[in-house]
Amino acid sequence: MSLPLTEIGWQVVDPDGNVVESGPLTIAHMTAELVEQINPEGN
Amino acid sequence: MAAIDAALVSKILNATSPTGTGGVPGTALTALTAAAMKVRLNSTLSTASAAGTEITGAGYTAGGQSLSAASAASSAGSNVTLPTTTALSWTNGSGGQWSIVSFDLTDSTGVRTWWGPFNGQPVLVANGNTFQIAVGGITLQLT
Repeated sequence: MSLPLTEIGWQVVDPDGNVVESGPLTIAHMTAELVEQINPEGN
Repeated sequence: MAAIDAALVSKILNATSPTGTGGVPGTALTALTAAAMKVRLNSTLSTASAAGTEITGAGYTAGGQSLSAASAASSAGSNVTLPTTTALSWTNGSGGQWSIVSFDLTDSTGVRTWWGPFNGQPVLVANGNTFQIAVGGITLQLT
């Protein structure tokens, strides 16, 4: 997989510094704990 | 595109505006511990309600890796990205293979705030290889 540098989310590098594999950016999701903080009554 | 529930929008607005009695801020959000937040890695998929199973072995510290620098704050609803400045990096010295599926963003005490699966998971990291989350590799968004 070859991605533009700005689109790389993660990569695996071998001991020589060679990129073995890479993947795109990761979009995060809110946890239930955070939702509870924002909306404790569940409204 | 996902959207925020109207009730959630109201909670955020109320917590940050003079909607409390006498003009004080409304019902506050619970504060997180004021120390560097952490990214933890998991061998199973986290969900909204539970963290995944944390990876183990030499090269990985339980609880995850601290974020050493501030991300740019959100403005006008913009995303927050992390890490900033330098990639997060873990070199597998466990003697076996890591299978990395998801991450959790937590405060310094382990209270989770965000989670996500790595695209292309499971990411297999052979012993001796290094797993890195690139600068800006994780995006937090509410729009």
